[in-house]
Amino acid sequence: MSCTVRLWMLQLRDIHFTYPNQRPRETISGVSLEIHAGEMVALLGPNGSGKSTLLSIAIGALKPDRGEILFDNQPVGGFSRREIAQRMAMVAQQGDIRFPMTALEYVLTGRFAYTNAVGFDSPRDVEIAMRALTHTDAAQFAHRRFNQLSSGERQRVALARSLAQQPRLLLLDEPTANADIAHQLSLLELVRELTRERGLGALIVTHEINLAAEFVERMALIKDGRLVASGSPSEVMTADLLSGLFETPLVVDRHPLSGAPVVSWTRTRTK
Amino acid sequence: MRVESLIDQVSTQLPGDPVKSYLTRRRALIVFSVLLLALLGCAIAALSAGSEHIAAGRLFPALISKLTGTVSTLSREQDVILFSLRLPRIALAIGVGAALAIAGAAFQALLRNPLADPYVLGVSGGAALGSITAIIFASDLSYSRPLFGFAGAAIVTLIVYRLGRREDDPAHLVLAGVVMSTFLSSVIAVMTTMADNVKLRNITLWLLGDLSSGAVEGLFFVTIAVAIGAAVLLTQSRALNLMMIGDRDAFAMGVETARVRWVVHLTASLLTGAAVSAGGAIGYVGLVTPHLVRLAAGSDNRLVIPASAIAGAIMVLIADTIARTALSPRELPTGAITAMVGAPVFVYLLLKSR
Amino acid sequence: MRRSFLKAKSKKFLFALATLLLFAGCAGARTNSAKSVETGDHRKFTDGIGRAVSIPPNPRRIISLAPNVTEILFALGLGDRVAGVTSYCDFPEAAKEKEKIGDTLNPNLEKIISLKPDLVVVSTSSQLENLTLRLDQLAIPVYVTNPRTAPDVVASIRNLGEVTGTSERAAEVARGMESRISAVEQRVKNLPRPSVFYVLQTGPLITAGRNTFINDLINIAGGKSISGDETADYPQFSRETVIARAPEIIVAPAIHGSELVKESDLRRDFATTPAIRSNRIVRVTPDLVDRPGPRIVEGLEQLAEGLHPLGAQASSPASLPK
Repeated sequence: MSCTVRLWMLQLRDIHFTYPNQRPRETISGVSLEIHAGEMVALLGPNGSGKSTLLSIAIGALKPDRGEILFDNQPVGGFSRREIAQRMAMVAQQGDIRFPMTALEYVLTGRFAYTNAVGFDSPRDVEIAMRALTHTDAAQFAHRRFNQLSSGERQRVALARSLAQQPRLLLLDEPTANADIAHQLSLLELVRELTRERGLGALIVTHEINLAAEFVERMALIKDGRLVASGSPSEVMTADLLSGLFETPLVVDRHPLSGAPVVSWTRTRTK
Repeated sequence: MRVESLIDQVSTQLPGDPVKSYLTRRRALIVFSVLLLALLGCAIAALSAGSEHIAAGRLFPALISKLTGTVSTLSREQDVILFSLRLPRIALAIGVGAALAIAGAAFQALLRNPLADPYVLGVSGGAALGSITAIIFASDLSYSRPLFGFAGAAIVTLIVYRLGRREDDPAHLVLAGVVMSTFLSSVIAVMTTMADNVKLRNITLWLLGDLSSGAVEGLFFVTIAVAIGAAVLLTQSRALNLMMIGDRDAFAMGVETARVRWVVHLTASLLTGAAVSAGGAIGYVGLVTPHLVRLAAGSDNRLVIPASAIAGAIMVLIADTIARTALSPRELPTGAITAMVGAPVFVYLLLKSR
Repeated sequence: MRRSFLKAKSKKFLFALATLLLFAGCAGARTNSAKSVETGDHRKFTDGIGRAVSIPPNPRRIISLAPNVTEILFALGLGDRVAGVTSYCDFPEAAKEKEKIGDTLNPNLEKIISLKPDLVVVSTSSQLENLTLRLDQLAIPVYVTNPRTAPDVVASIRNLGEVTGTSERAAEVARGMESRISAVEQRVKNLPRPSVFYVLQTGPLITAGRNTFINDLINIAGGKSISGDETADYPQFSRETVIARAPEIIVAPAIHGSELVKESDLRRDFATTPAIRSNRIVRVTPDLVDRPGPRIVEGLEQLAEGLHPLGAQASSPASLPK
């Protein structure tokens, strides 16, 4: 761990939350997490562990029963929705939109927090949107209907939308889920570039552990609503921790070129 | 880097129509000009048409002489027919059409469902029950029908909203609305059996959509409703664009989704209530008009909502004119015409969208 | 940039709003357009529901909004002064040639106005309050007739005669009707009153209540309707009620030999009633008993003949249903 002082950006402190239909079992039990400026953090865990719920709580869509959420050391509750949107952007799975909308229109919606209620999009808004699309290698879809895009293409457009929001923190919910391997890499390269060069923070919920290991500075492991471990990929990706997390035997190796930890499954062999 | 050149660069290489890719002033101007001209044309035709044909060229001079108080070029009967009968009726048709179309567009965006119409949340049932109560019990008061109807619509709106409110799941709202609608239909059926023959006929005609009553109170309500409702919904149209994508996404991008939800729901319901109280349950306008507008001009609500108003006005105006002239001197119910035209158009749109 | 947009958008909006308000405003300025008719010596009358009406002395263009009114107008010799009738006005033959202004329940206001009437006669049975109101607002004289009983009809004929300047002819017609009515009354005066069930239609079963015309005719013809106490005008009865009240005669409409109410239905549904068991089904021509006009006396005679067949007077022509 380096000794540079990092600014807190997002702090989740002792979050407790329960979905109404899951009482009395808590969905999130006392999770604390910080994201610093310029940092990429991955949130990993088995299905149903509460990862997406945590993201929703971070953005303010769900109110925790207990705990605090701070952005730049200020409680998030003190901000208006617009102000929150100017600071944090979320990229999630995007299904079909039941109305004809072009990719450019879709990305332009990201400018909402900066515009008036009534009005046309200014040339600057359009420029920012087009630049965001270019950044995510999706500019060629700008005029295509959103529903006509493949799910991988939609992901890139969704990322562009979040960039159009000019946020300081990105919350990504399985951003590489439907992308091919080349695009998985380029997407995370892009996020890394944004965190390194622009000082954005990024919290990524993903199942792609190995991909995350290549890029993120920190990983947080979550199970049954509890934080099980947190630290650099090397610290956190041990066979014991991961096998316990996913309740299946796993082995951890090293990537031949980058040296990052690589986890792989085992199939039981009859001896 | 200028935006136009960037888009030009990108679009020269690729398919897709650059004009349609986002809402521009130019597109808005074209759409509104076309629609307003069409509305003007239809209004002129409607003012001329009827059992007494008044040539279009004589309309404007007659209007001037009425406003300045000078002697009219029309005969006394034509004057009466034009200004006391046709003009209010046409104004009502325009108002009702605009109200229903805006409400339809707003509901479709809010419920994320292009198949929604303004009646899906039970509002028309409430307005119908209110108006029918007025027909049966208070037919002597001239304000009673639109007032009761509007009250009925408002009450049902609030009940459905309380029952069906659920973030991120408009289906609940629709379910509550459907349940309410069927319940109200049965109440209306019971009340209709209690009514005597002639009131029964009035009720039946009204349920099909009837703009012939000449009640200026209804026009007053509708005009106010359209003016206020359109303004309010216009301010929410950008937020609605985001909510068409999804509640969670909209929320994350800065929309106060809970507030937008109830503002839009209430406004669109009251628009519907005013329209139904004034002219009966005219169908298909709220369903078909926004579709047609989106087909021609994209789904951006900042355009779709006001443009639907004009397009809806045109639709009801044409239907109403046909209703009162096709089998003159008999009058057909306007709602029957909108259904006969609207249903096939809707089927065509459904098939085309595959 | 944003400011100029707002201007552009709000300009369009204000324009649309102004247009809409202009329409609404013109609509409101209603009564200015109806200038008062050149006053000759307009005469004031009170019509059948107590409204004060001001009518020119010899109205030349009369519009009738009900078939019974049309019959009365023609009976008063005003045939050539009738400018418009409803599509249901089918008697006398000459009425069918007249301009149609729509049906009785939903007359076309534009058509009425374009015919330039100086008198419009309405019957309350059509319940055209709204229309009457609008005609009032347009300064077109509307006379509403409201006959509920046979004597009412005679009185309304006299009144219409006065209103239209044909009082002598009206008196003639009225006298003729009165004598025929009293002839029937005399004939049945001391005869026992059978209980009568009047069937307007089956499926659903509808009969006539206290304030209807047919009820009055049944009373005059020497019968007593089993639904004669019902306050609703045309209530729906259940078959059980009819059977329980055991009518001795069933009266049903028929037209030109065809049966609007099928005999087989009656026989089947009311098999246990005295009426069916003694085979007493009386047919009447509907127009003769429904329309409060000059021909009610024929209907009355038909009815009396049916209720008390023996001893029919020769003063009335054979009144079997055609």
